[in-house]
Amino acid sequence: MKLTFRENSLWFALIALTLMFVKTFISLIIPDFSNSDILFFYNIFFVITLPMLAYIIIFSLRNPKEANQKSDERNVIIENKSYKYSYIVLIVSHFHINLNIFLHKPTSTIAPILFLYFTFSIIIMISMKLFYYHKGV
Amino acid sequence: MNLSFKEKSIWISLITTIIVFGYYFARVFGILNQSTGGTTELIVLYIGVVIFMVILVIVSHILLAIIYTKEANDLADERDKLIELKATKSSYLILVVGVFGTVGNLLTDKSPIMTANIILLFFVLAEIVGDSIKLYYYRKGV
Repeated sequence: MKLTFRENSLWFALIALTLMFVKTFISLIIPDFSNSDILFFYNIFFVITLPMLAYIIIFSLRNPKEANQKSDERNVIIENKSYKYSYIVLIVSHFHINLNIFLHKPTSTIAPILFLYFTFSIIIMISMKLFYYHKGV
Repeated sequence: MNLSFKEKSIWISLITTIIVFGYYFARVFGILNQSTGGTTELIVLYIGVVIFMVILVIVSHILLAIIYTKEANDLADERDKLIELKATKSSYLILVVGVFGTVGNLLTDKSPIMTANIILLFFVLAEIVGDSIKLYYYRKGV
């Protein structure tokens, strides 16, 4: 399966963000984890992020025409459709956080939950983009 | 000015949102400015306004559908979908700003009630901006 430059970049971003999401999710469930194994996950994150940046830079230098290609009509529609799913996730997150507040959960948990939902909304957005790039729109 | 059914529906949502939540936030800031707590009052007001808003939007749209039965049954076309997507993108960006605003608030002020209201404020702003953009595109064209 030959992937385009956009798809390759999206795959890198998806893997990096999923790792961040898993790390935050585990540290929220197991509080001790956030202190002990945090470095392990950050290392994995950088292992993914650095090759992603390297790939983008190398690709841009080798194929400047494809890398600098402007979004066409299809890309714009895919992007807008993906935003829709991301938006729904953020709305759900807002209601969940307000519910947490009304149930008198500690305020210290709100920021990680919000971060978790925000990361999840971007994961959904990227996944939907990849889905539409593959399936067609 | 001849408005389509969709435009009328958006205008109703926009006006009810501005009036109901305008009243809500005016009351909230009044209560928060008082030196005494008022937490229970705020929670009751919050839940009351959300339920009232949902009922108001449902009832107004039912009435609109009864008055304009033919137009109400029209399915969304390509243009409607494109306008919806463009508006959603702007609403999403407002909510993202809201996420950072909430985290910023948590760093400075740990009040849970304030946090809940900041979240609601950005949600309402996202809806208002989304509806306004839809109306703009329906008038101007997309």
